[in-house]
Parts: sequence; C-alpha cells; structure tokens
Amino acid sequence: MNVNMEEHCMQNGIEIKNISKDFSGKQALKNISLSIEEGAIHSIVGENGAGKSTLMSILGGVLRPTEGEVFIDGKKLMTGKPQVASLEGIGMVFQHFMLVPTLSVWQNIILGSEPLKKFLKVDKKNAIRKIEDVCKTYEFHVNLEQLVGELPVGQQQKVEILKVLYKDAKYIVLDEPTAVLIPEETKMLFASMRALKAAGKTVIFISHKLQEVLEVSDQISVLKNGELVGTVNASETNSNELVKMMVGHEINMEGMPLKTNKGKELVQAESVFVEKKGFFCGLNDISFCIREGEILGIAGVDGNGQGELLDTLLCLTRPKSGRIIKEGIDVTGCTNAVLRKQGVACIPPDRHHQGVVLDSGIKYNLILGCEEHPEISSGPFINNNKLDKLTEKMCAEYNIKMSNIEEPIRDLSGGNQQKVILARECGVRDTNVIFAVNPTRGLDIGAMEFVYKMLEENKKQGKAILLISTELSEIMRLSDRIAVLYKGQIMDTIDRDKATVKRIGALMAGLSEGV
Amino acid sequence: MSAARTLIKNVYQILVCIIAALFIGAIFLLIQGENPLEIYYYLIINPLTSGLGIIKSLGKATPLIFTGLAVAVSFKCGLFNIGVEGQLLFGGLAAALVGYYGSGLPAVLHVTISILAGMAAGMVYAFIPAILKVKLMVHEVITTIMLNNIATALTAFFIVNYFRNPGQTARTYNVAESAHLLQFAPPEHLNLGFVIAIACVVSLYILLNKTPYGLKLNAIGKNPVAARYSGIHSNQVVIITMLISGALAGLCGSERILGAFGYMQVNFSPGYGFDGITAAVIGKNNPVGACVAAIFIGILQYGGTTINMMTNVPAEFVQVLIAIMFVLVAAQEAIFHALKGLRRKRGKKVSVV
Amino acid sequence: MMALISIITGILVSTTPIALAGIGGIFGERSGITNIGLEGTMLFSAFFAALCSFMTGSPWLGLLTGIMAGVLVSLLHAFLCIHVRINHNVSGLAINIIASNITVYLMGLYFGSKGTTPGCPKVPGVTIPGLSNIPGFGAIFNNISLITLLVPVICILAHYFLNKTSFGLHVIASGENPQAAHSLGIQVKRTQYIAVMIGGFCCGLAGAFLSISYLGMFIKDMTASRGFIAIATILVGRYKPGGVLLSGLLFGFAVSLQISLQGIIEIPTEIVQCIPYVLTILVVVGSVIRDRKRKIMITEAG
Repeated sequence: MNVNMEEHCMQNGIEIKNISKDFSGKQALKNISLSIEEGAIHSIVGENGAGKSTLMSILGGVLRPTEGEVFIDGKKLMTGKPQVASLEGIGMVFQHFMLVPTLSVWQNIILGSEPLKKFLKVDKKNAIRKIEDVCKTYEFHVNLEQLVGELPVGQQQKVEILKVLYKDAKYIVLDEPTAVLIPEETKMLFASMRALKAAGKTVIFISHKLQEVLEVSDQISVLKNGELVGTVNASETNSNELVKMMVGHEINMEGMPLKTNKGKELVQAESVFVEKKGFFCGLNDISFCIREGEILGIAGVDGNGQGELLDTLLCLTRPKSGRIIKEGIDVTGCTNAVLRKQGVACIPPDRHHQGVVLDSGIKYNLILGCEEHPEISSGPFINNNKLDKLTEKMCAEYNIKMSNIEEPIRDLSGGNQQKVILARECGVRDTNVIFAVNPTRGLDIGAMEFVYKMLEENKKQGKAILLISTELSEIMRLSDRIAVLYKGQIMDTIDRDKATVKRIGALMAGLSEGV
Repeated sequence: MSAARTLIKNVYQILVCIIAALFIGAIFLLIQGENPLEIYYYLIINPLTSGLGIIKSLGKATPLIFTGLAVAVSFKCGLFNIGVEGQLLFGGLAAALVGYYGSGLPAVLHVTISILAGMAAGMVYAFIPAILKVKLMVHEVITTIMLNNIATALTAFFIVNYFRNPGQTARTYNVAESAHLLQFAPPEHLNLGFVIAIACVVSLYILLNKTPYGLKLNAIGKNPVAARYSGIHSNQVVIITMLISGALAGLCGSERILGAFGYMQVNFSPGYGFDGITAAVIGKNNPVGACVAAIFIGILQYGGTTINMMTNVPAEFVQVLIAIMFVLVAAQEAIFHALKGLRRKRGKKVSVV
Repeated sequence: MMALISIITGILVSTTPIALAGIGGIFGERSGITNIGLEGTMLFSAFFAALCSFMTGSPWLGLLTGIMAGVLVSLLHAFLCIHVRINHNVSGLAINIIASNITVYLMGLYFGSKGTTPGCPKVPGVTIPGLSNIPGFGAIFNNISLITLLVPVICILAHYFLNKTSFGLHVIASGENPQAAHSLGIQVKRTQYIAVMIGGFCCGLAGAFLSISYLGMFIKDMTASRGFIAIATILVGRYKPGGVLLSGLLFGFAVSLQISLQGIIEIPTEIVQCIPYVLTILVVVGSVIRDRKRKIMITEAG
C-alpha cells in the first residue's frame, strides 16, 4: 500500500533512495534519500569532500552506487551507464569541462549521439540545423564551426549546456558552474537557469557559494560527510543556518587583522610582459610590489593570467620584457632553482601535479627541492636518521596525520598533503617570500582554517606573501591589499578596508574605476 | 608498509613472473617435442655446476651489467635512453683506438686512459639526445633509436675505411698488451671489467639513494612537473643522468674491447644494449636488481650456447624466453593488482565498481 | 630517362611500407595509445607472410597471413596498454624485442637458417594497362606492386574514416579527453582497440610487402627501423593521412637514395645508410619546434 502511494506522490521529478557509495573502504555517501521536484531549481551544498560530486556522478551514470536506487519520473534508472542516464533526460554539466579541444563546437555537441548517414558518415547538415534551433530557443550565441579549444571559458560553458539541451535533457545538473565565471557572467548564468526553469526544465545546482545558492534556488539540500543533513526551502533559511548544517557549528568569517605600517619592499615586478600563447592570455605590463609582513591578494577568475604570473615570478618562464626584483637583485633571468635558494617559497595551485610526488614517501616530499638542506646532510650524503627526525618534528608541528613516515603521500587526505607542502615551504625552507596560489582548493573547512592560520603566522614573522586566489571571499578575508587580475593586466590595487565586493567584481569584469 | 616489506613483496612477485615465463617457454618446448626440464637444466642449473660454467656466465653477464645500469639510471629519471647500443659502439671504438695508438705508455696509465676514452665517447654520444630533449623538448625515443642506426653505420665506416687491420676484413688493429684488462681465466672472457662493473653497481646504488642528486633524479622520474615547481634544476639533472648513462654504455664497449676481444670488430655487439634494457626492466630500474638480472641473463645465455650442441633447440630460444620474462615483469604490478581484485571479488558478495 | 624511372620506382618501393605503417598508426596514436612497436609488428608480419607463402605456395595466402599477424600483434599491444596498463613505450619496446628474437628463432626451427629464409613465391606485380603505355613514364606502372597501388586508397579511406565518420570523432575524443568521451557514452576502450588494430592491419600490409612483394624472402631484422621512421612520419604529417603520405614520400626518397646514388656519386655506403636516420632526427626536431609555436590549449575549469 505504502509503496504504491509513494510512487503516485512522486510521479515526476527525481527520487534518490538509500544511495550509498563505497570507494575501497572509504564511504563517500551514506544512505542518501532525497527528492527533487520537477520544474524547480534545486541546489545541493556542502563542503569540499561532502559527496556532492559523487552523488551527481551517480545520477549521471558515470559511477555506479554500492547500494540504493534512483527513480526518474517514477521509472527506475539503470545506473552506471552514461548513455542511459542521458536517454532518461539527465544532462550533466561537469565542473571540469568534458570537451575535446581540437574538435569544433558542433562536433563536441553531438559527440556520442551523432546523427548518422550510410557507412557511419556523420549527418552534419541535420546536426547543425537542430543545434541552431536550440540556440535560438535559449538565445545562446556561439560560433558552431570554431574549435572549442579557442573559446574563452564562459563560451565553453555555454557549449556544455548546449550539449545537454541538444539531447533534450529534462534535468540539467550544473556542478560548480560559477567557479570559472566573473560576477557579471554569473548573473547571466542565473538568468539562463531561470529561462530553463520557465521552459519546464529542472535545474540541479551544485555549489559551495552560499550567497549564490540562496539567490537562485527554490530548494536547498545540505550534504555533510556523505550524509544528507536536510532539505530546506531557500526562502526560509539564511547562510548562517546553512553553514551550521554544513559544518555542524558556526565559523568565524571575520577578516584577518590588517597590517597598518608599510614594510620594506621584498619583491617587485616591473612592467612585465608575457606573450599570449594559444589560449593563455599572457601578461600585459604588470607592475606591483609585495612588502614584508603583508599579504598582497590577487583576485580574478581562472584564466586571466594567474598561471603565467606564477610561472614568471618563479622564473619558470622568461618574460618578453620587464623585470622581477627580489630584495634589490634582478632575478629575471635566473633559474627557479637559484631563486628558491634565495628564500622563495611556493604553494602551487595543483597539489597533485605541482606540489608533491604522489608515489614518494612523506619524508621525501618534505625535502622536495631542498635535498641539500644542511639539517639532513652528512657531507655529500643524506643522513637518513636526521631526515626521519626532521620528518617527525614537522609532522608534530603541522599536525600531519599519517600512519608511518614511509607511507606514500598518496594515502594521505588532501588536507594532510597540503600540510606537508606547507611544512616544506614554510618550515623546512628558509624563506622570506611566499607565493600561495589557491592554497585551500579542495580542502574541508578544518584544513582551510589551518592554512589561514599558517599564512597569518608567517605574515607576523615578517614574510612577504602573495596570495593568488579565485575565491573572492578568501582574498577579502586575508589580504592587506587587493589587486585584480583581468586578461593579464592588473586593473587596480586597493587597500582592503576600502574594498567592497561590488568594486572588486567590477574590476574583475574589466571595468576600470569611474566607469 | 615499510621499505623492507615492499622490497620482499617485489622480489617475490618478480620471481613469480619469471617462473610463469619459464612455464610459457616450456609450452614452446613441448610443442617442439623437447623435454622442458632437460632444457632448463642445461640453461640454468648446468652453468652453475662447474667453475668454468660460472666464469663463462659471469663473463657473458659483465657487458649486460654495464648496459643494464645505463638503462636503469635513465629509466629511473623518466628518460627513455634506448640509445645504449649506439653509445657502447662509439665507446668501444674510442677504447680500441686509444688502446692501439697509445702503445708505449706504462700499462696502468694506458688501461686507465683507454677506459676513460670509451666512457667519454659514450658520454658525448649520449649528450646529443640529452641536449635535444632539454633545449628543444624533443622526446628521446626516436632520437636515440635513430642514433643507434647511425652509430652502427658510422663506426663501420670508420673501421673499414680508416682503422682497418690490414690482415682482417672488418676490424681494428689489436690493442697493445699494455691496454688489456687483467684476465681472470684466459681464454675465457672474465676480466677485471667484472670487478669494475660491481663497483659501478655499488656506486650507483649509493648515488641514487644517499645523495641529493639521487633523490632529485627520483623525483623527476616520478613527477617532473612537481620537480620543476619545487626548485629542482631538472635540466641539469637530466643532462647529468644521460651523461652517466652514456658513460656506463661506453664502459661496456671498453670492457669488451680491452678485456674480452682485444680489438673492435664491426657489429661486435649481439645486442648488449637491448639485453641491458631487459635487465633493467626485470630489475625494476634498481641498480642491484639490474645487476642480478644481468647475471641471470648471462647464465641463461651461456646455457643457451650449450643446448645448441646437445639438443635441437636453437640458441635463439633463450632470447625468446628472456623477452617473455621482460613482458611479464613489466606487467608485474598490473598482474598482481588484477589478481588481488579477483581474490576480493570471490570473497565479497556485493561487487565494487 | 631510365635512371629517372628507376629512381621513381625506388621511391615508390621505399615509401610503401613506411607510408602504410604511418597512415595506419595515426588511428592508434590519436586514440591515445602510443605505439613504438610498429617496427616489431611489421617484422612479425613480414616473417609470417613469407613463411605461409613458402609453405602453401600461394602468395595470396601469405598476404592474408601477414595481415592477420599484424592485427594479432597490435591486439596484444592494445591489450597490454589498455587492460594490463603497462607503460605504452615499454609495451612497444617489448614487442620489438620479442619480434626480433622470435622471428630468428622460428626461422632457425623451420628453415635451419640463421640469416635468411629461402626464396618464397611473391605477390605478382601488376601492370596497369593504359597508364603503362604512356611513353617514357609509363614504365613505372609496369610490374608495380599491388600493395603499392593500395597506398593512395588506404590514405583516402583513412581520411574519410577519421574526419567524416562518427568512429573518427570517437577516436579523436578518446585520445584527447577519454573522461569526456566516457561520460558521453563512448566506449573508449573498444575504440582504442579498434584504432590500434587498424594500425596493425596496415603494418601487416607493410611487412608483407617487404617480404613477399619486394624481396621474395625474409631476412633477419629486415625492417631496418622503418617502423620508427613511420612514427616520425606521423609526427611530421601532423597526424593527418595526407600529411603522413607526403612525409612518407620524403622518407621513402631518403631510404631509396642508397640504391639510386650508387654509381652516380661516390659516397661510401655507410654514409648513405645514415641519411634516412639523420633526416628523421632533423625532421622530428623541426616539427617539434614548429608545433610548439602553435598549440591550442584549453583551460581547466575550476
């Protein structure tokens, strides 16, 4: 009796029942049951690692659940098959775009569902006609013949959305779509979402940015540690409540104490030009300075020159013109190895590819790049005992949780891996300059707080810190001065007490002051 | 898991792979109508039963220890130095020339500079793909293979046209007595070169595990991007590694000319470079492992010369057997990972995707 | 005139195996599976084609066997790379080493010889009526190998399949972004297997050409690094069938110089032997430099 009633109640919409997902002993999702109403904008929030992306991957057929079922419009979904999920009306727009750069827009849109003529030949005419129809309906403007690799990020996202609309998706899942957009583009995305809702589609919006979620959603579900905490109506809640549900307690969002007096300039960039290459926009006449005992924050959406800036400051690429000066010495032409020896620390944006050697043990990652450190050497050799002692000391100081020091760093959590990087760059190395890029990406709130604490301590010690981050809230909280990077240019540098989100947002959109 | 346990696990798995290869080889033999046990006795056991057998096996193994080390050190750094074959040819030529033209020098000095000449020639030839990789980012796979072919042709050209021993068709003058490496049991080919090889194994082990250079090499091999971002001077390490690799290959050539043959014949190498690749892979790019693998291959190869006389099995069977071992050991991690998955599946009812 | 004819014939003969292996190899490379084992695959095919032709007396059966050998070896390579997950270069290397040794071993078993097999029946040459009657150049089309005639056909087919069909799109997607391809329901592994086996098919043709069309026998290591030169043509030809065919002609010309230059200019044979290999290095270096200047990059979102 009960079952029939349930099926009747939830005839349309998505019904997730008792979904669990186990990754070799690690429980990513624990018995999740939630309902998504048809025609609503339903958001799913939670910290990094809470299980949002895993849940959506199951919905999209990319992953198979360990237990549980999914019902779409009352019909049970066969899990683990992306094609099936797509046929049932689920369209996934992943955070990391699933596009093929050397194929054109129209080819990317039809990929996997190509209309065919004889002998496997692709029916280009029909495909383009249908795509143009969809574009007209939702007022998307994209050049169909252009290669996707040449498009800016905002346009690539449009292609992703077109992909799912081409396949007549009813339920459109957007996984962290605003991570790559400036505030203005985010507004346009929200307008598109409302247009989709008006056309009868259901939008599932995954984000960790609570202000945005509150602005655009009808319902909000909160995940914490793989469990569903609850589902609330957006109109009946606020960000404090949501944070409480996400973390279990309230957190202090206050900014860090500002530095008031001006210290010595430790790093200067003077008129640095880096050539545009392919889609990287390069750097256009960049000049700034970082003072000792301060944090200079560089705000900006991904893809506006952050990578080029870091590589140039680290002397990994040579600028076309301009100089980098450290404590009065011109270091523009020297190598990264030499620069690091002069006291430069770096917390790179991509932990796994740039920060650590995953297959090596913790202790070797702790001395990556500082193999000649006097504290671990005996003559020309490396003293294993000294190395072990240093590792134990650092693990205690930085609270790194591991089972033994021979353990490959791959087995550590993201937060602990980041702590190893911090221990190496701020503890083992003797430095007075730190370049930190997206240092809290992918970390849970506990680890994030640890990173902020470390940065503040180093600032107190008088180090000059450059913080490049795509998370505006992080920049606003930590920096003494804020510069905005847009298409390879520094739009302006503002003291934090004079900065507002509106003003920074405008600069991120390329609008200069006064316009 | 501690380092010691990992080592034991690896050795165990490699042995399993080798035994599996022997099984597959046995199938080949059975099809031919031969008795695998008899053949394997001649290949593996027999060489070890006599002093002469051991000497000959080690003699065959010595060049492979050098090339095995050369390949191992480059693979560990992520460099595909397949050009060892060409580097050892130039090494041999240099040693042969200095060994001949330097006659009259006191013996110890003559031997030393002849060996060093071989190492230097190998280093120079290895420098070419190294600089192409570092400055122009050209992947070394194709360059080193092409350089092998070029070396074969060029060394032949030089020997036949400029340095030919008039009494012979395609070989150099004999090197002077003063340049010969001390022989252990003439006319067998075991000579002082074997001792030098072992010394190289020990030195390389210390270099890779106990020095900053070794740790940097390791890091570059496992994650070149992270190595760059962490302040390791990758270009420097890459070039030094290729030079070491070339020097070891050159040493192989020197040992053959100054210790085993006494002259350089065109095409004297039956594939020492490629057998070195096999030794390195079976030894998991570890200097000690490569050395043990090289000695094992040496035993098999010596055994191979005897089975040709006793049975109908051609000596090439040994090479096929070794190649199968190469494939299985290369796949070792994957095979055991799959076996572990199978074992787990049989235990649990719910399958894990 | 006669000399020019023989030069052109020489180029066609040298280009055939290189271009075939190269064009076929495009598919595997673009699907994401690097294959440096083209050399070994060609060698296997050459041997089995000659063996079958010798044993059955029919060069056509030999051709079929050669092609099958190529497909089976490439299947092994695909299996090792896709399911066993060995480093692609190591797998290719293993195939080369095994091929070199097994062919000599089997040659010793069946023919009792260490260097060459006895002669075997060849695929008959074809004389194209009409074309061969053109005064002067027509002589090229006298007794031209069937397999050589297949080269432009294979090039056109490859272009069609890669650029106009859904299969081609799947291959490109599997190579550039396998995660994306999988999420769109494309069977990445199956696509990769088929792509690599296409390469094996073409290598089979190439190897068979060497032993039962060109020489009429199998010689130890007769491929002489042509498989690696084929890889270079893929690089230089920018992974496009037309480009690979053109660069194949360039390298074929270099390889054929050995024969053509003899008697015309006094250059020692060994130096001439070096030419194709030096050319390969120069051309590969040149194309790497050229490609660095125009790279399409995609930013990672988030």
